[in-house]
Amino acid sequence: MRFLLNSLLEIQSKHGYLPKDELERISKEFNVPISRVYSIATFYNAFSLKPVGKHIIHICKGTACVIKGSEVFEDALEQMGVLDDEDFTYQPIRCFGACSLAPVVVIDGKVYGKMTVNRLKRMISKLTSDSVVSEDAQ
Amino acid sequence: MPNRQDGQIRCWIRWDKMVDLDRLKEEGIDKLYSDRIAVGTSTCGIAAGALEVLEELKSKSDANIAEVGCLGLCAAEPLVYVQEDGKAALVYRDVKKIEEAEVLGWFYPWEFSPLKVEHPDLEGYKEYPRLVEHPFYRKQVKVVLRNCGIIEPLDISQYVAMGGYRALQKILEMKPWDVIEEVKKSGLRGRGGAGFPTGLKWEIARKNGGEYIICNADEGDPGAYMDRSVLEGDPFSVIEGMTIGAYAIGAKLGFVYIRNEYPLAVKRVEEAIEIARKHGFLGNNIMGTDFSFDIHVAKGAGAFVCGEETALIASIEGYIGEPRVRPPYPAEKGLWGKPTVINNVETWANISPIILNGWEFFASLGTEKSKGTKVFSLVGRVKNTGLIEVPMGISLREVVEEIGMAENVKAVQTGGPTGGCIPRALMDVAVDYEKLTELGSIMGSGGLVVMDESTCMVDVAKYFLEFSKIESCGKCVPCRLGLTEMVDLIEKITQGKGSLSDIEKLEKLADIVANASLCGLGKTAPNPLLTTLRYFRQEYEEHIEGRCPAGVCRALVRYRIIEDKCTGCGLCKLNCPAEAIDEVDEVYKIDPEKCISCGSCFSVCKFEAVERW
Ligand SMILES: Cc1cc2nc3c(=O)[nH]c(=O)nc-3n(C[C@H](O)[C@H](O)[C@H](O)COP(=O)(O)O)c2cc1C
Ligand code: FES
Repeated sequence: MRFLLNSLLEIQSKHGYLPKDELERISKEFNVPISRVYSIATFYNAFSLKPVGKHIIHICKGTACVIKGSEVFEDALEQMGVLDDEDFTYQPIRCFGACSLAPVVVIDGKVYGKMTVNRLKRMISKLTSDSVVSEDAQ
Repeated sequence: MPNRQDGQIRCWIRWDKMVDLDRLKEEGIDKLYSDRIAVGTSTCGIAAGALEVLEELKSKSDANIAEVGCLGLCAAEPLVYVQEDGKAALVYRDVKKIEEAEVLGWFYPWEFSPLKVEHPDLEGYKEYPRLVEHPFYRKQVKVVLRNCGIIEPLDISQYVAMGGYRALQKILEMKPWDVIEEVKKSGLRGRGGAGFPTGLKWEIARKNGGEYIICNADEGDPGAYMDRSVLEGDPFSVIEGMTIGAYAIGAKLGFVYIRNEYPLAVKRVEEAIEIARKHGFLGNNIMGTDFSFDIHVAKGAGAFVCGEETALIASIEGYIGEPRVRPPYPAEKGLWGKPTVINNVETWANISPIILNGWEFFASLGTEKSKGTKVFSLVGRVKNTGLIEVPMGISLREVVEEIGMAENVKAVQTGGPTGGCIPRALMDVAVDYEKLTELGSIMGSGGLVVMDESTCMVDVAKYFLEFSKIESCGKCVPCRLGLTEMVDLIEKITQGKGSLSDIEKLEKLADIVANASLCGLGKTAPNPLLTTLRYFRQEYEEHIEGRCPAGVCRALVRYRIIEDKCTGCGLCKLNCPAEAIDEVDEVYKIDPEKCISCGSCFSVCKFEAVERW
């Protein structure tokens, strides 16, 4: 059984965004008007209509992480120029379910718990120099 | 194949499809009690570095290494335990290198489960404490989490060895109505938040000609990860529960709707479904009977409101997640217009123990109206963060202060973003659907976020209102516009620009939004505001006077470094997100122009050299 949302998620994870021709293909495949595919693509947070950068950074803005001060990470990203850098895509997320290790940051799909500004800054500078995050950025 | 009719008992027709549970059980027991090293590799364990530990263990030893789910005490992760030489399991905490790790305690792998299972005699340890006597575990009673952290999640033989699929085998010889009756008598209520009696929901669906089963694994509440842990650590328990539900209401098709933010849980469930099919526990002629049922996985895409049952149904159908007016309820008219039973992950995981141990077992736990146990994720300002399961009726104080070992608690937030904040003075309240509602909060799905003096209650209320505003689907006016207006007002207060009349306006709006909204999101969104106003009104008034006592609201605080106390360690500079701190003559100074008043330096300084004013 195929679900529209599952298919869109597959495209999103393959390209990092939803290209227009793929949306048209989905519209035909599921036999639903393109307007509905588009409304779905804009309603759900997981989708983006623009290409994403080389590195994807998520900061958790869930309750447990905010209580433990995760909001300053966004300030750090801003200060480091990450928010305007095309190589980076930043998206806040509401909870990864790793709340016991709050505050949580996810970089290129890997979850890092008990994050500090210091550690985040080091990891980002590593990313700007080479392309893999490594844990010696501790 | 005979047509199924009410009251008719299943016939065992397909000998070739019959499942040999005893053989699976033997195989599982062999694996569970052979010498092994188990590493907890749920999402929480992985975030703490469990995969690195796993790699190291694999490269250094040729022992049998098992990846298991979450044992609960996430604060001590990575957790690793060793079973060898006929001894019980010895747990190590905070493992970086196994040779250097500290022992947390020991346990018998079967001792958390309420199901009676066969096991060999293992010898305990005299020199180490027992896990069940540790403050974190002492008051826990595991029903839902019976296998989490014990079995390898995708090894169906280990699931069977721990009593799995006996319940399904049992109900296949019962009449569907008797199954419903059993669940009704147990007193089980939905664990997704609202607490609707599960047996009654099944009865309504069956009467309407039940067609579909849905497992709600959207778990959108930030700060909550109970469902994720169950799906990652013991997926078969949910699949078996759904299969029993399908038999009871007469459904042939089921769906698990999981949020996309949980990639590991999605993968585990997909694989578990495949394995269950292969073993004849799903698909045509389940366990050799004429009962057929199958499950598909539908993924969410990051919309909180899709946890609401009618929005979730719309989402599976391929629409945007807008709630629909109830009634009709899904049990009458649900997915594709057909009667549908939708229950939460934890609700489903409770089903097999109820069937296997009998409803009396379940009803003996808990309070008069709230039976059984509840899983909570205990997070925030608490020492023992983790996943716990406690009998209903236990007090919040026991949970937070004894199990969590929290100190200087100010409030506990229950019920997710639309729940309420319960102050320390009222923490003796029993965990019970009605009791929590009386205090203006809700049971919700099980997130418990502990707050202390460093938390500003006005800021917390603002956070939740913003959350609900953003997550509102926008369909109905009170929720869409009311919440926006409320956020603006509370924002003003946190900036020190509010007035007492703004509080009045907020109260009025809260009343309108709560009463006029279409779905549960709007109806409950004012709860965090109302409870903080009820219990922490003084904090609102202080903000109006221009003070934030917790020092959180940035517009109302400043920071400076006291030269005499500064040791020049530089930790503040390293942790300043705004690059506002620099070294001047061996001490550090904050540049007020650049400072954003976030308080990072204040919380990292070990010498109390940063002053808030
Ligand atoms: C805004 C909103 C969000 C919800 N989110 C969830 C959720 O994430 N998980 C869940 O199981 N129930 C959630 N619910 C409750 C469901 O609507 C529904 O009551 C529940 O899935 C029924 O299952 P139960 O009877 O087993 O609790 C939510 C309700 C509302 C109003
Ligand atoms: S609140 Fe951040 S991971 Fe849950």
